[in-house]
Amino acid sequence: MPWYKDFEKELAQVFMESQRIVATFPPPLNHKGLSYLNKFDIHQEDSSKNYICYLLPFWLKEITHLKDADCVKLSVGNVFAMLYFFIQDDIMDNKTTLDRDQIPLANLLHMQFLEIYRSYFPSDSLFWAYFHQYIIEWTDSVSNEHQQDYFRTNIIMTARKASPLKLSSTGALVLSGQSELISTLTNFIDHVLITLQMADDWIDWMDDWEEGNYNGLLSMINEESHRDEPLTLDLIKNAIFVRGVMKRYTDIASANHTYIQTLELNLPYLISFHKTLIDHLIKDANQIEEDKLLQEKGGLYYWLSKNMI
Amino acid sequence: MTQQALLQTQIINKAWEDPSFKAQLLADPKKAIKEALGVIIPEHIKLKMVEESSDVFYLVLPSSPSERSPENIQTKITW
Repeated sequence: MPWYKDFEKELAQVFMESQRIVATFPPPLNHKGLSYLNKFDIHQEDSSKNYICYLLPFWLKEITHLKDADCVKLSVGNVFAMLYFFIQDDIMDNKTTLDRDQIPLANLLHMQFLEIYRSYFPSDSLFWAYFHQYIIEWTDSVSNEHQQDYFRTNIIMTARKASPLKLSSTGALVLSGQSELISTLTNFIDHVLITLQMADDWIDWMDDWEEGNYNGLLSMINEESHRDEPLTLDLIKNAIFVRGVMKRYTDIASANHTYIQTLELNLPYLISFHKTLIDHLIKDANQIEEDKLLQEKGGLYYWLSKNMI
Repeated sequence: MTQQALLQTQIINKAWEDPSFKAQLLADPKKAIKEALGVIIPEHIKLKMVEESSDVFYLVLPSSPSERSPENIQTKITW
């Protein structure tokens, strides 16, 4: 994974700087903030690893040519924005175990994100118009995804849940005097984010079904089922393991990969990251199909295939 | 031919040719397979043997792949 290995040193700097800033928060938010940050620190074993969030400014260096120090700062800003929006997600999902201190913590994280970006972009900068746009996109996506069934009706909107991520890519282009590339790059990133959301929805479909959360894979299964009733677990599992829905689901992600390469931006790391997402979806879809073909031949045949060297 | 297909072919051909193996297979298929081919099928799996005739066939319905847990399939990756 060169998109990660080539930036291990820089990632360490990002998290060190993020920890330094969070440690300055008034107690107990300093401790709670560090604890929350730890859940996303790639150096911690069981952490959530949102590589695109931490690494996007570095992956764009081929076109922005920004100094490493600026990439680190933009990335730290991204980390704070990410933590802020994850807390918003937790609040919206009405997690009953939510610590009320998460709300003042979120405000501090948001403030820190703004301080970083204000240090680069004065109030009359073009950047803030995009800030406005990406927040609007995020609100539209999270408020309306269920009712509008965006995966089926307007798939680009599934990427917009992560629109705040584009603050760092657009910021990098404004900083490097290449605002004319913003439209193409955000289109590129939107398509990567669609696939990222699809990969997450494949991993999370069971939890999402149980909790009633919107999920693109479940949307596709629902559409193919031609039923008005809510999806049952049996219906979902049959769609995945018998009717091969993952093949059609993966085809959408593969089409994204073909598309982003037509945009002709020199972004090998971002393309490589996207390929990693696609490859894992394809691997799982193929495994499901292979297992089904083995299962069709009978239990003994299946068992022998899994247990004989 | 795959290894597992080869194995099933070996079991069937041996039973066709060797009446004592066929009798063992009908009586205790797991033991017969273990002694003839060295394949050990674990305790928790029950293996049943049926013999077709020229006008009695068996259509076996395997268990559905949908009974499998998705965690067995999903590639563990973080991004």
